[in-house]
Amino acid sequence: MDTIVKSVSRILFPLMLVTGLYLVFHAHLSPGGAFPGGAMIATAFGMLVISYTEQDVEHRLTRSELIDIKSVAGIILVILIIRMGYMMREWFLSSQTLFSLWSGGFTPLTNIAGSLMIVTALIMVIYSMVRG
Amino acid sequence: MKAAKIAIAVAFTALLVMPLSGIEFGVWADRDTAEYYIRNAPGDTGSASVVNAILWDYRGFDTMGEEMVLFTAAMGVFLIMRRMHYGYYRKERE
Repeated sequence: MDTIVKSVSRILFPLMLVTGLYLVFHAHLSPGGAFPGGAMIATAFGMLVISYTEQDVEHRLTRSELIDIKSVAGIILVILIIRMGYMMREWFLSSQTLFSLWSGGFTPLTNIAGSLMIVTALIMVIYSMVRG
Repeated sequence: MKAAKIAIAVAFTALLVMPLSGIEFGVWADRDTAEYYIRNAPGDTGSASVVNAILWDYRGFDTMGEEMVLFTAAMGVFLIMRRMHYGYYRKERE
């Protein structure tokens, strides 16, 4: 790609990452959530794939690493929602204050795990569509 | 032929929309579930955002199934694209 596109995408990439992480981590306080935040983080990586080559991005974040992150996030999601969420509900709620960052029961943790699932799924789709 | 297809499409759409037009929106007597969520979501789940409380707490299992759907879709794209890729290279080599 062009030098202008490369430079602008290099500048925009951390900003998109920060915005996506903000959407994920503040999902229980403000509009946002795991789905839009994860889609925004995956879009940042997709922008890098388009402006640079797919090999450059995959050199830093390989497919096997993506699958590892995805499995760990899925297991955490299942354990958090099925087991810990309902067992430790009172402990979560008693240690938290409303409208602070550490609030929302176990939903911040499930937000993070779910956003990891979405990020890895979308980046894998982008990788496999660009190069087999 | 094209006019007949358009007529069938319009008739089918009307058939779908007609029962929906009878529903009244904004009637407070029918809003028990919404009322409960709005009043009790911050106290029940500790989450200030009601949407997040519904999505990840009240209906957590539903969202988990959604994640599994997304995972299956990503795996399907991955496998289809890989097969197409290998088929392409095999044809080129022959």
